Amino acid sequence: MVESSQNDQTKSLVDALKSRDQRTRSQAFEDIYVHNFPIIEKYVLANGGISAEAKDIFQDGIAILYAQLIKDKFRGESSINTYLFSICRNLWFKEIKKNKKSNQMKKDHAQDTDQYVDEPLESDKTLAVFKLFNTLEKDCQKVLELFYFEKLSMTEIAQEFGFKGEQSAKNKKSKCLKRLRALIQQNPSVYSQFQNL
Amino acid sequence: MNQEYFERCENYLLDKMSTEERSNFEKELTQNEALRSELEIAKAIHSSAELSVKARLKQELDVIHQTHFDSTKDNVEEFEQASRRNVIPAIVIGLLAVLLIWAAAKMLMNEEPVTQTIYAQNFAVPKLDFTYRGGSTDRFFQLLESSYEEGKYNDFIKQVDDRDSLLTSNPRLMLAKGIAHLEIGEASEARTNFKKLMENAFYRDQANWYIGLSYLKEDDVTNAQKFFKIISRSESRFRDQSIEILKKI
Repeated sequence: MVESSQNDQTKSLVDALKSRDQRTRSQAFEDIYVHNFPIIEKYVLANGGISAEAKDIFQDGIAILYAQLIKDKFRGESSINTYLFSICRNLWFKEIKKNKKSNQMKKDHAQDTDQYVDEPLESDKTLAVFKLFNTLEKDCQKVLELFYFEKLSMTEIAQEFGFKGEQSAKNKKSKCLKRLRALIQQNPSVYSQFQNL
Repeated sequence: MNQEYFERCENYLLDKMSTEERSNFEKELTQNEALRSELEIAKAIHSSAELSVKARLKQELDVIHQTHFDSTKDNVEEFEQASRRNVIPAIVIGLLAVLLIWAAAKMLMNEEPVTQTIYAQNFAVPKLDFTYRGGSTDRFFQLLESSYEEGKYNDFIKQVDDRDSLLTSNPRLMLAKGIAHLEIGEASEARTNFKKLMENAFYRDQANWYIGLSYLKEDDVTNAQKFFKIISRSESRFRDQSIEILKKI
């Protein structure tokens, strides 16, 4: 009974975080932030970090959590809070390794049995394309985000933008993609990274 | 760049291929350099969309952080922790801290408090129409209106106080009286009027806004934050302004 109620809570929180309604979504992120940041901050401080590092790790953790929710990689085997904690703990462990501070890390990480699997770091190629992506008009960025990341259908994208129909959304996405591909091609330092693979 | 290849890569990444098509595609990849190149470009575009969403989300999270967690206490704590980690001698830390506090105090003494600047940037006297519809009080309301519009706030308050009974039946007058008190530097009296307005659903939004501002005027950031937070979570027309203020304070 208790477990079922916890599952319901987790499900409704996941739904709120993935909601297309901006207000519902913002409130859910705020709730998660306010509840979990002090816990992560305490953990990072206890393991040789400072508050600013805790903030960075925590925000990266939430961004990863969101990506995992969108990609349906969160299976609901633990609560969102536990899952987020395991993501942040892994991120902090990586950070410590990067800065050779592993002697300051408590041993509890070795007992980590979380379901969360690390995401690979972004490659230089991706970051170079991301810079060009950022130069697109805001509308274009949004369309590509909704299509490639949020996996919305063309009908849903049309609704989001207030387009008359699916075809308008398709045209918009195609135009934006064409523009981004042209930018990549016109930029030899970026384009060359995709040659001779 | 090859459009046809790119479209096939899209289908591959978006899982729109049959098992057989997928297998053939993967086989072709090992032999076709141009196709590999297009696949990498397509992957980078997909990842860029994700990075962009994450970057936007982190901006939202920054606002939440500033609203709930940023304070001078954190800065001092961070400074202390960083110092410990870098093994800076305690005496140097002490001296630096004293220097920092001295510099901060000097800045505070020389500059107008941030709260006052924010108040000035956001406060505007609302235009209000008090005209009583019919009855012998017409002239009285005209007088009130001209005092208010001409910024003769002391006169206005006195005129309203003489007819105190009208306040309860006229929320605009109550709002104006609050504004008048605020304009002559009586923030606490202003709040008394705004708080009464809270009972009126139509004016609650404005009441929250001006109470928040009245606390800013008194440099009472903690109480100001409470009211701007309420507004920032509502559909208020002051929502965006409140979010901006919260970021700054």
